[in-house]
Amino acid sequence: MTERGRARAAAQSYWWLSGLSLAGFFLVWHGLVALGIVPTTILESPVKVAQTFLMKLSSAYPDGATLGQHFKTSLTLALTGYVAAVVVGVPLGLLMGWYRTVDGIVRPLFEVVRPIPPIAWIPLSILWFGIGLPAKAFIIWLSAFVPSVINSYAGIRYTDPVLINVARTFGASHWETFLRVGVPWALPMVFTGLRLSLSSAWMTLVAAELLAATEGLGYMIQMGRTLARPDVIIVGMLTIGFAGALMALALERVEGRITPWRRS
Amino acid sequence: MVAFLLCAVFLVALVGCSRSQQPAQEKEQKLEVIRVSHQPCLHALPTYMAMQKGWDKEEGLKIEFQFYASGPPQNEALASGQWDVGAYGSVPMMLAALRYGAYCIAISNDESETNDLWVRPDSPILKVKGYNPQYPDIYGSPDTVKGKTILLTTASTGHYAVIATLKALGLNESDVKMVHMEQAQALAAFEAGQGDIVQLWAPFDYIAESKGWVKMSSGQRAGAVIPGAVVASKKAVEERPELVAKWLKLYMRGIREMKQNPQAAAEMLKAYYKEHGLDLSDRAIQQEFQLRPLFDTQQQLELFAKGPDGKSKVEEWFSALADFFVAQGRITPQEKEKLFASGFLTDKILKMVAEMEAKGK
Repeated sequence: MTERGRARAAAQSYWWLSGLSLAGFFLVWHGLVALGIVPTTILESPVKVAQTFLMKLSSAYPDGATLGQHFKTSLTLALTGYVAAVVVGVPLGLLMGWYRTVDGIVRPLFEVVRPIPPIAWIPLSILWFGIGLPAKAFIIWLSAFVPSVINSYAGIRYTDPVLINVARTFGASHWETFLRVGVPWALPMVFTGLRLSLSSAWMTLVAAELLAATEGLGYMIQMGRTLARPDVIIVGMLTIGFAGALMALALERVEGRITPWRRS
Repeated sequence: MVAFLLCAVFLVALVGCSRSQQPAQEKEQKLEVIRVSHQPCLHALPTYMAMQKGWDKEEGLKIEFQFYASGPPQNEALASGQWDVGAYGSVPMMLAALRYGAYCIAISNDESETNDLWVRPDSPILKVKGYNPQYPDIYGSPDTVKGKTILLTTASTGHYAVIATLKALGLNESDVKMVHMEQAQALAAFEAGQGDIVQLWAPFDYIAESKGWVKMSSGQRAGAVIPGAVVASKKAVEERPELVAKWLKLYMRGIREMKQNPQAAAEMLKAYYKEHGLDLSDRAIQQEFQLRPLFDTQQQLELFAKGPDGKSKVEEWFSALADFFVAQGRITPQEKEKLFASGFLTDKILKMVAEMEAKGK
């Protein structure tokens, strides 16, 4: 078998395993509920969840909007916060990792802000930004910003010193070395940070929509809770999960194109 | 030798201690445990009072008091069988009946006046009062309210009060902008200058008053009756009705005490709130008693008694609330039918309490 064939077989085997794993998970879930081991008051069956999912595609019952409307609102919110976090976080992390002065100025503040849970910022976010998209996006920004900074910092910090020396030997300035050696070296870690930031952005969605919402997957989950509808809650959660996973996959494809040397 | 003597003394002491605890433990073992769920609210006071005054022990009960911030987590705990009886708002009660077969066994209070809408003192809404003569205590008119932003907790009794107010002014939901927020966030946002109207319930509305905001309407002013519910789980009512009745008897005793001695009850309420992190002013505590009518056993039986049309007052109130939920698309008409066919509103336990009270038990 050629190398390409082996790679294709490995990829197929990976997808089969993933599919089987998911199928097994749903089977166990269904079994637990169908056999009465877990009551439906605590956990609805996957069949009921699937029915609710299909119903939500076209019905606003019981939370006031269809799944598509909720998804569109949440996607806008998540992407706004995420893109803003990446646009600020990645360059900041790279600069902090490369320039000691920047690191010295920013790091103490960053280390203080980092452990504060995004939900704790909600009252201040309302005071500073009101109750619209900026306030909610700020909560997501806080969550997604941290992994972007940390991974970009770590990626550039451990640039191979041999490569730096070669660049300097050939007369590259500090800035040129940063741009043409440090940043490409850091890219794999930067992309890891982008994936983690994306995951954080989706995870914070429910908290952000606690601020003020009449639509959105987080709102849908809250309404599911208020109306004692665990099936609606699970549909919301799974939609967030699958959306996040699909976007992470898309990001992986982009990474593959930009950092082809990582394919091996 | 010394070690042996020390061991012997230790053993004797151990046996002596356990024997002296035995009577207390034996007595303790005769107490029936009942798990009671409550919120930081007036309707927790009767149970709190019973525990403070030792009424629970008199009835042979050991109350396991569970505290919840709001209805949804209380319902989640009910679903997993964590509590037997409790009190909360009529909306979570209705949902508990629909989803988990819970029963409303009494009314904790009438909270129509404390599900209310507030505006800032300079709001143009305050320029008009009694636009609709049928609702003379509501501020505002279609012109002053149309287009306004209302901060509210949707799918709640507060939302019900908002819709009733809009209806009284000849408006509907599409005439205003509604923004869903939890109560604490709504209070903070309104204080930060967001929104034109904020919907609140107790004890948040007392905080609103302390900030100089003005009440523009309430459930009561808009003709919407909003009862608080005393709830028992399906299992407790069907398998241990005597236990539920014993607790409800304590609860009704607490309500009697609150009606007869509001001053003393107010002090106890203040202490209860303080224990759970809420420091309300004396005026706010007084208003809890002034604005929220309570019903003794006899009054409750009258509320649950069927009228000439076959419906009790309590059924009318909950039916109106259920209609609101159907109109909002939160439950279906079939779910409403199923709910009222289930007989979730029951005076069975109240009748047992009335009998016990009559016999002086």
